[in-house]
Amino acid sequence: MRFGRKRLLTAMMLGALCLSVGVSALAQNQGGTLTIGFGTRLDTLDTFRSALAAPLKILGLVCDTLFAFDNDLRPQPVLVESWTQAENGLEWSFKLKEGITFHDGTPFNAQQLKDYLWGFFIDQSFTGWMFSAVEDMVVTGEYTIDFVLSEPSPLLLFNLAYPWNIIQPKGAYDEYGDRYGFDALVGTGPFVFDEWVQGEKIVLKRNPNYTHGPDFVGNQGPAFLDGIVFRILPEPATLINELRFGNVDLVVGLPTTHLDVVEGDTNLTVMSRPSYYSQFLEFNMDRPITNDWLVRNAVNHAIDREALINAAWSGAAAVSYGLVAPASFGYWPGIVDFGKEILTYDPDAAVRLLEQAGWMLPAGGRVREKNGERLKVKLVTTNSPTYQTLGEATVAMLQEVGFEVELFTFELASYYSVALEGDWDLMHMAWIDESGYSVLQSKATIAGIEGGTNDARYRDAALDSLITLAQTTTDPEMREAAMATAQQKIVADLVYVPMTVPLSYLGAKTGRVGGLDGLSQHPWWLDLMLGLDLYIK
Amino acid sequence: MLTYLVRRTLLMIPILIGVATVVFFSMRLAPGDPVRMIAGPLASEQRLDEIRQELGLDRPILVQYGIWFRNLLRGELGHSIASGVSALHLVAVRITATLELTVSAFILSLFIALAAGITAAVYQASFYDNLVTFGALFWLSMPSFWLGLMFMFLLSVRIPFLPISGRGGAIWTWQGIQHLILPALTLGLPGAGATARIVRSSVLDTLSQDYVRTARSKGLAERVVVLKHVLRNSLIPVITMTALRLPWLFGGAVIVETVFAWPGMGRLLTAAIFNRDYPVVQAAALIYTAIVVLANYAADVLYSVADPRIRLQ
Repeated sequence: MRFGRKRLLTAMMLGALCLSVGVSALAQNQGGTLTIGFGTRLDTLDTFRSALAAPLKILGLVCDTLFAFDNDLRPQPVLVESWTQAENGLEWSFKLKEGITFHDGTPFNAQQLKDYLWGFFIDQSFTGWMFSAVEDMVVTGEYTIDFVLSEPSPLLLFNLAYPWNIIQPKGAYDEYGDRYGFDALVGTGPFVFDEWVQGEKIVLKRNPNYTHGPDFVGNQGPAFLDGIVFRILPEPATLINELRFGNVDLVVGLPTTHLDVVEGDTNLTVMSRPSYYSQFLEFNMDRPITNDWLVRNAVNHAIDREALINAAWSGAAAVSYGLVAPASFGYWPGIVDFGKEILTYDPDAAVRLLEQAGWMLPAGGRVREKNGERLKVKLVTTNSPTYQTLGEATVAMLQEVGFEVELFTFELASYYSVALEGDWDLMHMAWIDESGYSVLQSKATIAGIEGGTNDARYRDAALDSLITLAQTTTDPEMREAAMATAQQKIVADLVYVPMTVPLSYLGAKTGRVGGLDGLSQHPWWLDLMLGLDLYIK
Repeated sequence: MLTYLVRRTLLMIPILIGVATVVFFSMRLAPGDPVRMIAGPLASEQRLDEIRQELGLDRPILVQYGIWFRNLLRGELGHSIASGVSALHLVAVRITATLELTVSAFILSLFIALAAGITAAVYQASFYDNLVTFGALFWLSMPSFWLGLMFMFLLSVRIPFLPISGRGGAIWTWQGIQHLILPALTLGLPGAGATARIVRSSVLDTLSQDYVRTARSKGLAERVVVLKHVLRNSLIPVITMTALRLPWLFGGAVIVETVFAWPGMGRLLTAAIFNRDYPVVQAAALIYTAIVVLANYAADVLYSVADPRIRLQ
């Protein structure tokens, strides 16, 4: 069929029209500064100096990791073009993306990557241990580098996507010294660090050269926004007022104490998601009372988790059925059905278990006894309002079944010391980690006891083997099976009794902030997506 | 007078060292590991030990004290454990904001207290006197946290007259002043209540003096009698009260700074205490102590200005 001149002209005009609409829509999204309310204390942006979670919001916008987690929590390349793995799993070859520069003009290439990771990051950072299997890095070309391993590391790409493992130029540390992370922050991300007005705000400006966003993000770059301002607002009421009536456009991590007010405001869009925050009750396995599985199970059945959620979290949490939180990678979904069989609120069962363990109620007494000893336990928690409520509610529930509970609350630094010293029987604890593997490694291995993270003193050689297998096997099915079995065993042993998973909330001014639909697809509301996809309406 | 000033200046030194020593030991005796606080749960015990060694925290406490004291004599206050930045720099960056807030609150408080106290005394047992008494007790009883949120609700949210929070700019700019009003009111009003009561009492006492009767009988206007003769002679207890309130003002600033997101030293100090950031706590304690000592110093000098009969020796 001949394609006539008239039809060709019509097609060209239609094409031009579509293009102009698209360009116009894109242009409409351009510009503006997003103001984010930030309720957490911030000391430094230097990941070598502090491992508190607060800086991640900013680091994720200024710095890239080699990989990033997609909506299914699978690592996808960001700074990497392609990669291969040797059959024996002992060598990984990476081809880096070309044409990327750090914000200070340093070119990003294989040598820069090696200078940063090898001998610096791996040795000195708080998460360098994730690469303990890497025994050498070999630069094979301007943009190609090999990682040589001492043993297979099937989680290598996950670890390279871990939010803390950002890539920065070593030269920036040399140049700024102690001031790095305070006056300067250098990365390859979609935003450039501009200034940090202490106690007030952090200002980021768009990186116009950023075009290497991962494919799963709607906009690969540059960002639509001219800039982002993080306003530091530590008081929750002030943060909410600024979101509702002031100049804050968006808050990630809305305080749940004011949720009803925010959700009732028709000018705000509120989103929620399960977090990677796992809250649980842990038992000290070195203490005679809590070393008894019957007693631990009695405590498990004595606690009404729904009541705890309403009392301590204002309803803004879900019941937890495992040590690994649902939003952490490595989470086994089957733990819910498994956990529901064991983690039930049943005070009568609690009483039967205690009696089975030999703890009997004396005539007219309220506290159980065994061989003349009272069933007296020490419960420790932090002094935050939420955890104090958790503690007080737990005391009341345990007293119902015949415990005598001494409740001790400590501010955070003392709380960590008390946990390590071991003068406690029960402790309300939380673990916030994107990686389920890291959670198990920290809380459930014998190495964790030596490292100070397994403060329950949970010793189980079989569990250790499972966790090691999960982290080292190259067979994905075996890895999944090992993770599933480990998570089941932890629930069954009841050293950690899962309690709640607080929900995370995001609030934004509906009339001002666009692009939230894409962000809501990611289980973590990835900071990179926030920076690239959001725009001012 | 000069001898007195020199002696008082020299006396500051052992006071500062004493306070800093108490802070040094009490921070280290409190449970909590500063390295674990910043490193978080992911750091290995080996890495934590390395950091403790780098920071000298693995040494015996008396050795740490000796090193700290030696550095103090050199004017070095150490580096923040949390951020690595000079502790003195961290404090210096924030002190301007705190001084803006506390000095503004102080001036506001004094102005309101003098006006209200004098009015109540001059119109004793009248409606104005009862109003001032009630008002003084009311503001004095208000917890600053609640007061701040109420001001914010009424004057920033309900009636969007003033900004909700933050420090809009330098104090000499209109934006800066707008942002300062609510925090200064929140911090200053409770103190104004207490001081107004003292002013009222002191003015009443002075009004009953013979020379005041003489001044009136000479035909002087009441305004002249009160402002020229009565006020100056009523200031001694007011100066004392005001000087004593200064530490309270700085302490209250912590809460006000948090409510209004004011980037002052109070929030820095609170965070440093919770983090066990020893150098920052010590630096901030030194600065606060110096300010309080200087304020008492200034109060002593003002006594001699207010009452020439007082000689500073």
